[in-house]
Amino acid sequence: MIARILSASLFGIDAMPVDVEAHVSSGLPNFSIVGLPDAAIRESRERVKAGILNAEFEFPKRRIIVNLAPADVKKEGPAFDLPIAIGVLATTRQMSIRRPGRYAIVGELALDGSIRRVAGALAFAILVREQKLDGLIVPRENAAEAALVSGVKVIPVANLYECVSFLSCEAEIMPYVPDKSPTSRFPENVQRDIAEVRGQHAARRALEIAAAGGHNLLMFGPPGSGKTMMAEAFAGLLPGLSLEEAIETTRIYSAARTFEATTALVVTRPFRSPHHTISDIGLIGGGAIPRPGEISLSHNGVLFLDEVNEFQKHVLEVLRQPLENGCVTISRAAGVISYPSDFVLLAAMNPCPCGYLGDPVVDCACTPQEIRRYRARISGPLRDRIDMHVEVARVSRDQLTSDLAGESSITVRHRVAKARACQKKRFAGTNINVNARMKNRHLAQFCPMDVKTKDFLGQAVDRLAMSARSYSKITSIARTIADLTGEADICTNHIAEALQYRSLDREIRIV
Amino acid sequence: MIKAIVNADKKFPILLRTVPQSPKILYYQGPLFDRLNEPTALTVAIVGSRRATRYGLDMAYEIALELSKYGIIIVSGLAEGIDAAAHKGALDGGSGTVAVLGCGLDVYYPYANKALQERIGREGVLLSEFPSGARPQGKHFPSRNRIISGLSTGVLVVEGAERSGTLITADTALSQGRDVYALPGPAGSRNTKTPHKLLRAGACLVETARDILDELGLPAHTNLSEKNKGIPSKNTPQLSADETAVLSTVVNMPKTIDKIIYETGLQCDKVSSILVLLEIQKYITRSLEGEYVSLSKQTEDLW
Repeated sequence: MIARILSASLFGIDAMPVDVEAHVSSGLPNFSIVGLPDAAIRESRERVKAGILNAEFEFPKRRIIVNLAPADVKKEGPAFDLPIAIGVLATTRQMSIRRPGRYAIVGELALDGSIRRVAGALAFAILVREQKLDGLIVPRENAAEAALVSGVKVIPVANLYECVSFLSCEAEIMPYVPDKSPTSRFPENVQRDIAEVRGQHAARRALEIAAAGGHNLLMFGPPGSGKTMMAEAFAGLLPGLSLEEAIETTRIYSAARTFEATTALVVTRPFRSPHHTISDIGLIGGGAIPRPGEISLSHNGVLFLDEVNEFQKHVLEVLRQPLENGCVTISRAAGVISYPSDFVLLAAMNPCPCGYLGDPVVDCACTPQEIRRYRARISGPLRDRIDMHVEVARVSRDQLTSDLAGESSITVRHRVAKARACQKKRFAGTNINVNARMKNRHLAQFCPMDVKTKDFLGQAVDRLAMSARSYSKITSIARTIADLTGEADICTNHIAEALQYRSLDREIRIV
Repeated sequence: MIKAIVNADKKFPILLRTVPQSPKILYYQGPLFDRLNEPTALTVAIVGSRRATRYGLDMAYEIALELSKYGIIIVSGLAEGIDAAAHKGALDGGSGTVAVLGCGLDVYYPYANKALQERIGREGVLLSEFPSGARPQGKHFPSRNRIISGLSTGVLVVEGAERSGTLITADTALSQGRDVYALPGPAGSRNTKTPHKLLRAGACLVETARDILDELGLPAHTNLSEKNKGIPSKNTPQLSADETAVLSTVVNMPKTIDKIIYETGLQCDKVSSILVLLEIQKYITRSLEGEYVSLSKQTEDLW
């Protein structure tokens, strides 16, 4: 006889339905799994055997074959342990599935028959809802995560025996109900308050604009000028995650297996700060079985690249597509996977090779030529995708102690939220949400300027020897600046301030 | 048209022939070469930092201009910064200038000075001991410096950091028996380390071109114009009160935007846009350090 159990496998951050079929026949005792299993699934045989025995069932001394259908897609992970065990028990008539309705089952077996958490529970729950199944049986530790998807009956099980009793209607298990219904907006990322940054008026203003318009920002300044501190505070300037955003981000974290077991949901805006030795695959994702990279883990949050020109050149180059599209597509033998990666890029670098250019105390020993070459290391195409550049001067110790604390993150966030609301209204019906994502056709539509302002912009680009491609960047920054004060039209003052943030476009002219 | 001349040739610059390790051969280009050996020709070198301040650039330009008006030929190394300012002042003053390169005469180095190099090739003279096509190399420059000082009766040091090529030139000048002049600067600035060190060691303090002329024993027969100070007076009335306030903070000292915000008490967004407006109108410029500097008419295009 054949037992057929519904289960699911992760593919990227999505789940796909997998049928687990078990068949027992006479012959030499054997237990094999077919249907492109990965190593973890093949080892599943040993766990299933031990789990069944330790749950005081019998493991049949017959020929067992388990098929994972569809058979032509590679499947991964230990989440099939539980459905395989149930299939084996059902096909050997040690239990009969009497529970009405169609349930999907996922779970990793421990040798003693208890059930361990799996990756991707959120994605599985979404699949259950899409496929209109009656419920999802998950490890107890995953229940809270899966229950985030409304309308899905989540049955938490702690061990194989519980699962068997539930399916054979010998016991009832109450569907998991979250303690409280999830809020529509989550708290902000408050690991650092912008008020801790003393002085740095210009840089703080730049951060505010970047947060309001979702603009990528490059900071350059000597070591110890507070670039890292400002980057950390930046995530706190963004409004808290909405429920949809939180679920999206959680799916990525869940698929990446970097999910902390204690929380069901990623509720704060991610702030990722990979070291500059990271590989391109580590950054954008990939691998034989693709996993999300740092850019996807920063989805809906902030990716901070400190010492950005120390990164391998090809590693930075791969950032271009995700920065443009807000998602990254990875093609591997196992399939083509798309991960969302809509993040704000913050980058920091020293102003010159020795790092001390503009430092009030230590002399810089670099020649202008060296400085030019150093700055040129950020390649043109990547620089094109960085909207704003800002110089961060080192603050003297006097200023650190005497300067009054600036505005707190809450105050700034308030203005940012207003500006973002303004943008949401403007972009209703389009596929973009922030000014930074505007393409040329949007610029014409949403950034009308009078003749005087347009002339001014043209003149400025000319006089400051900027490249022609700065036009659109300047316009979108000016749009955000106007949004921050709630002004509908862009005027020359907005353009003038926006010009301030394109300093790398200018030729470095020093005699 | 690049020409070559050997040490034994009687047209070889006489001052340079007498120094130790005089170059065996010189390549040159430009009409001024023949004037170097005229008995009335006086040459003064002006050297200094590549990363100069506005003060240094202005002074180098100013002094070169005045000396040039007096008929003195200015020698320098066509580097960025002080060298370029000195060459420019000399060309504007009318007596021409000598640029000594550390590479072949057909190589543009630094590339930023391409236009200046071409102009000197037409109106002054380009000199090098390296043949056409020779790439600039680190070891060429000390050797170039000995030609700069060797060609000159005196060397004026305008700005230079503690350990710099400027200091090497000054040392070479001393060992060749040339006068060394130095221009003082603000105490504590990195660029005044070399001139002040030289002044302490007995170099002649120079504030204006007149000081050098006095040293050279030349009478004052031309009235050297007063150098202009303060806000450059082009269309100043057009500026608003805030703009004037911002401009006045950077007139004497380069400042970062944060300092300007602090000193004017204006809002950050306001100051940012004013700075750009002033920059577009060429009242100020932004230095490599990210500081704002007011521009004077003469040196504005050197930035």
